[in-house]
Amino acid sequence: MEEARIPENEQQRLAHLQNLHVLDTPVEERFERITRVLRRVLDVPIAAVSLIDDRRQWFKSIQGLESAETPRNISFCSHAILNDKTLVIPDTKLDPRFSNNPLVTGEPNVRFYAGHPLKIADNIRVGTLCVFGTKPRNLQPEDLQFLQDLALTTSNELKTSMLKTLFTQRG
Amino acid sequence: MIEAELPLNEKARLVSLRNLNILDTPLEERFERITRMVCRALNVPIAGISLVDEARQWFKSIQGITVSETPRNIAFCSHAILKDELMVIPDATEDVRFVDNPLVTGDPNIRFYAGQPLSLSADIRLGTLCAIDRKARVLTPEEFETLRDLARMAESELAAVALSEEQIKLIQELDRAQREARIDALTRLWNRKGIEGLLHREYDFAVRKGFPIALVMIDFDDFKKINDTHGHPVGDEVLRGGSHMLLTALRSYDAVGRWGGDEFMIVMPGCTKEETALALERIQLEASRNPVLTSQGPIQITLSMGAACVMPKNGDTVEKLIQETDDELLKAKRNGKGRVEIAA
Repeated sequence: MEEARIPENEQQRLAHLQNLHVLDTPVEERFERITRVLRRVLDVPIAAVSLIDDRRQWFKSIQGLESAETPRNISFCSHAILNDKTLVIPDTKLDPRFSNNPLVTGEPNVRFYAGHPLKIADNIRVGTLCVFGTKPRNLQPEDLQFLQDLALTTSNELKTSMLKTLFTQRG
Repeated sequence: MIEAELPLNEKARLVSLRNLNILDTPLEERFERITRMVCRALNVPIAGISLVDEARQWFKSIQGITVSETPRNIAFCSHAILKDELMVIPDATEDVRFVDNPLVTGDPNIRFYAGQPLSLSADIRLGTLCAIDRKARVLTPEEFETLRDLARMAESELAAVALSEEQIKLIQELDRAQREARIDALTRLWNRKGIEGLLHREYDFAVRKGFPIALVMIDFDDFKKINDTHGHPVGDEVLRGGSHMLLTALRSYDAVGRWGGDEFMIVMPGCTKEETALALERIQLEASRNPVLTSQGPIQITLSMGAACVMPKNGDTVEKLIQETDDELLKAKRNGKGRVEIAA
């Protein structure tokens, strides 16, 4: 198993994430709507808005799986935040980075994954919008475009909180 | 062809629209994304975000055709904004309102139309998120839901304002441990401590600003019976699914919390009695139309709701508001359950 490296600007990245004031907050319809639509349109078992914190991956929204967080070092999303592209793994068992990842060899038996990073500023990726399931799957280009579009919409929702905060702080 | 009549609140509607400062603005990717998603999700060639202005329909975003506006009197969307619900025309050539509409008999040869009105406040419908095809077809229940969800995202982009100031302030002040202590593990909504704290803050804010505030208490009817019949794990699924359903009918700055057991509280800042009544009617409708899907199949739930809406002044107390709301909930239970009672 290969652990994702830590981004060079990790301290800055974490500061931005903290400033969003979104970690450990209750379920919100504006994010539930996103994972619901994603799951339905792409016809996948699980869809999530995941945020990569210092040591954990925390789910702001997750449909199809009962889970609030997982350790960062075994998360797929920690790889996805390393650049701006969608991370697509059609079959985890064929990928040396993940084939013996505990989330693959054990619950929830992730066999395919696709995650697009949530970017809230230049070079600042706080998490992903992702889908995964227990069978290998090849997503079509239109599906990946849809995931990307929805991920950018998600980033905007996250940024909205941040902008509102800035305005309230200025009084 | 039948032209749509004007909405009753047309003057107020136009003021709202102008205040958005969005008409005749350049293309924006955040709206392009949404119409693009409609095309993919509903498998249609044409999708748009249309805003209905005084004499025209103007597209903030449009996929599949290059046109930026059409006269209002031939716009399908001018009909769609007359009601709250999604308008579906499976075949325009079979609808007396549209059969000889120039957009049907000529370019772009509309046959199928589905438009979900876009609102930023109760009863003000600015335009629609619409999907159009050149062949007749129907909309599946999933597509219906998806178009509605995407329309809410479009509204979000239009408004670009989410949580209330007080919710944001509260969240900012709490560190991770304090936040965890205020969230209900089962539903991931605020727990009693969380929602009560928020209520106090929103109440004080309302006193300071002279705004109204509405409080709602909700009880799952016969919940003990659900637990006894299906078991506690399924009972939990019902609480989770049912309480999340509340979110779909509320504004993004209303707050929902689990008061305890099968009782929930909604705090609605700046909400008038009329707006509260509308929102609660929506929830009742959602509950009756959508049984909660559980591992043991769909379970129909009904909700008893009590609400009180006040314009609090110095000297009024939160405790009194909670008591009033609770009294209304009791009334709802006594008057047959599965209903809403609002303090006069």
